[in-house]
Amino acid sequence: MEFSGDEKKIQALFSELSLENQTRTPRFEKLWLRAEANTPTRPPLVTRFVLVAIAVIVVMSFIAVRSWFAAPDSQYSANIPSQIVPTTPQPRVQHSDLSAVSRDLVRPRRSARRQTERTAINQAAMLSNWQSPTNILLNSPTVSVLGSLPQLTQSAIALEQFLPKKNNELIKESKQ
Amino acid sequence: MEISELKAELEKLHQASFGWALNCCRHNRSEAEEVLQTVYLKILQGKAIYRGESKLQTWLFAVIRKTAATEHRKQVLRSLITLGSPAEKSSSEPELELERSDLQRRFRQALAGLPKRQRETLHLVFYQDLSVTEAAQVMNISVGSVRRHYERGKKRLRESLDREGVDYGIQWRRKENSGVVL
Repeated sequence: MEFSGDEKKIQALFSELSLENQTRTPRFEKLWLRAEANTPTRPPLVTRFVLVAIAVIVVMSFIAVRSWFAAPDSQYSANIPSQIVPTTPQPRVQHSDLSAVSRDLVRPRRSARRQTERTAINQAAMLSNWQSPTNILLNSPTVSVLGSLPQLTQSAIALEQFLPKKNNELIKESKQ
Repeated sequence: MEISELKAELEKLHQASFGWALNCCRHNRSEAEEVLQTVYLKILQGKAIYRGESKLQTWLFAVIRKTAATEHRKQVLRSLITLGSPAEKSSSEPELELERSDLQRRFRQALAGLPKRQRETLHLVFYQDLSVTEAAQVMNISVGSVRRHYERGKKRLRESLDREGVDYGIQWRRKENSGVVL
């Protein structure tokens, strides 16, 4: 940058200031070494590897414990037999039973998820037990006769209807 | 840039860096030393990384300026917490004061009386021989603002020295110098 006039004079004053500062500047090595001494040393590679391994183990064990606590609850969900579930859902009763068991084990977020699962199971049970109101029209009156066997307590005459006819009886019938 | 390479470059710039640190710390030598050491520490720790987007000098000066401001803020906070008077370390060194010429003493006083931005601009331009654009990069402000600070600072410095009524062989031109190449 080119200076002229009073700028040159200002620069002269600054130059004098600069010369004075130069004589009193601390050595670079002194400040650099002090800074290096204050730099925290990085842990060696092996130590870092061990730290990472420990962190991974902790995370894995945490996941394992979580899944272990989650398992009994899923058993409850899976073991609900469909015939036990009433046609009209009574979710409050079941939910309270289940939540009573798992209240201490499950965190609120997980319990919300399970509640959703239970609602889904109840709805599935309701659907499986559903019957059409016109189902009765599919039954004919003869279904009961055709679908049943003769009983031992029936009269002999009635039983004879089911026996094959003998030859002499056939002759009698022809004479008549 | 490798750290050994950077170290060599920093060593070359060390004197200029210290001069700039002194200016940022209101000519307090021990504070300037501490600031410069903190800057080197930041570089070693990787907190301040030179990406080659500007000149190394402008980058380094910007880091020094920021560090000095942070250190000053911390000092003010510390003094507020301890409820004592602000920890203004005396920058005057008696034996040094005696060595200084009267003109130099008056010049320092006039410089100290300037607003921070104007003082910084004049230092970067006259002491460090940076261009206005580079000064703007260091100060993180626009080129226009630097020009304004430069002109105002120059005028104020001249007025301040005139007021002292000293004539130490420097005849100030009364007319504004418009032909300056920036």
